[in-house]
Amino acid sequence: MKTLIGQTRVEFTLFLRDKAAVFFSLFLPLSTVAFFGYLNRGSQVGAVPYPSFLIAGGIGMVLSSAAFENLSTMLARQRDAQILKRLGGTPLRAWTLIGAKTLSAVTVTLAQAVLLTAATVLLFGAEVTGSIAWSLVVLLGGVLAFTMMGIALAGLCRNADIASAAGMAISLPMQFLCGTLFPLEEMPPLLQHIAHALPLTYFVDALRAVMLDHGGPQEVARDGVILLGCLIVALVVAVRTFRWE
Amino acid sequence: MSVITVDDLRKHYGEVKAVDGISFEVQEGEIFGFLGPNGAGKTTTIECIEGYKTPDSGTVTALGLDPRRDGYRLKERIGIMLQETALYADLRVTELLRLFASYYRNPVDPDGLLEMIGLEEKGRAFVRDLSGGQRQRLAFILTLINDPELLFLDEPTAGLDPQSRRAIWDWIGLARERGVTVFLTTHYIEEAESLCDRVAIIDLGKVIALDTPRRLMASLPVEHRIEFVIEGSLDAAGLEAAPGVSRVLDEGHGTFTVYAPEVQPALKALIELVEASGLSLRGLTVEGTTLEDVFIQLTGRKLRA
Repeated sequence: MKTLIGQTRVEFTLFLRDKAAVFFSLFLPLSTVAFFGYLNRGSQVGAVPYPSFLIAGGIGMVLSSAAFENLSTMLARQRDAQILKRLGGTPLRAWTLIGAKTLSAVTVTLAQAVLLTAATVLLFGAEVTGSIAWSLVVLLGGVLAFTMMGIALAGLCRNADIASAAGMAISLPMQFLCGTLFPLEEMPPLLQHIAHALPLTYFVDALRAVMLDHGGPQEVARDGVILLGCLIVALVVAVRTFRWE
Repeated sequence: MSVITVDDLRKHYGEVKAVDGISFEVQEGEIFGFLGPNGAGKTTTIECIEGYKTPDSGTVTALGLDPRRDGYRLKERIGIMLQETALYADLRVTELLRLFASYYRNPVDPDGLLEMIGLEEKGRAFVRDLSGGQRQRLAFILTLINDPELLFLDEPTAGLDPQSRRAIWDWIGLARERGVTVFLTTHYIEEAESLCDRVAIIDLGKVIALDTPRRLMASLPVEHRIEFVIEGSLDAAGLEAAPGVSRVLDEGHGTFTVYAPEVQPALKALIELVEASGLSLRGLTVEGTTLEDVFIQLTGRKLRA
């Protein structure tokens, strides 16, 4: 337990000291949300004011960049640099390391969720009309799934260059296509198909549903099952491909 | 008591026999060295004992434990310095020490370790801002943070300046005085000669000699080695026939090595030959037998070739 806490603190510290990570995971989603929130501050998505619609999308962007892509690249980079190999020479368990990286991603995502929500509420009068408790459940489940996918991706890629390129190639379309900034239904059919193949779509959909209380339980259940499936597949791949060097 | 036992260890990578039937034991409290050129199989062997690699065949134990099956119990009691020093560059020195301390049940006080290597002023510095030598020292004291019984040092002083190298030798000596057993690999002859109680010479995946440095050197006929550099061409055959000379090696670029059982007549003959040829010496060193000679004798090759 002492080891997990110590390692988590270090992972979080390393994140904050990595300027690129902070830019892509903190600054970029915040400024994108501010920009689109300002542009469309008067418009509606169905019955929902656009700024309220935007909150879940912004959190989805953070999830994709911080929990998935950044974590994957950092893990592969530490493996390439033989930092992990040195840790593997201590009694540190692989699960403690992965747990610490997950907890650090949870911290980053939660903090960002609070920031994003506060910003859209204060700047554009967005409202969270749904259940905060369920929002947290969806958020935590999402972080778990996307963290594990990040660890699996790092395991699948031979080195950090490949992991970084693959992470970008998946994360960038996810951040803009998965119903984050625009409703899926308003996008061209081809892009909708792509979005439906990307797991972030289901997270954003579920989070938006519980946050704004406009989705039926059945819709969220389907999202939940898909995300759980992603988590399980990622877990299996992560266990099979994790290596210290 | 044997702290490490290795019996008929083999590890192949495709066609390459990285380790090809190595056996040895390391006794409690000794500094045991693996000496050999790059690619001889030193790192593969040490990583099989540390538990990083699984042997193809043979048995390995460290502190009585199987490194693969009892890895966590073993790692609690050993210290590891890898060949390439890689540490979290974005952490401060004290943060890194505290992190490593958190991995173990009974860590020692990190501040005392920093003081030992003269980096107590650098506690707040980022690892990335340390010099190469300072980083190597830090990597070394990280191996001591769990007060280990057994240290694995893979090329601990590779690429270091002489001063840092001596400092690390001193600390290895200090660790031994506290009863720590040390297993190190090196391709520095001086390191093996001055530090190790016993040395295994390893080449092409096999141990080709194993003894104390003194006895390894004594196993050779007493010969002096005279190295000289000359401008112009020299008739080496004439020198080989001179009294006191056993053989002459032409190393190229005007550099020659003369093996001489008797140093005085050999030197005299050398000077006479050089003067008679109207040439001049650019450099001259005379040495007794070294581990390098043992290595050349055993393999027919130079260690640093």
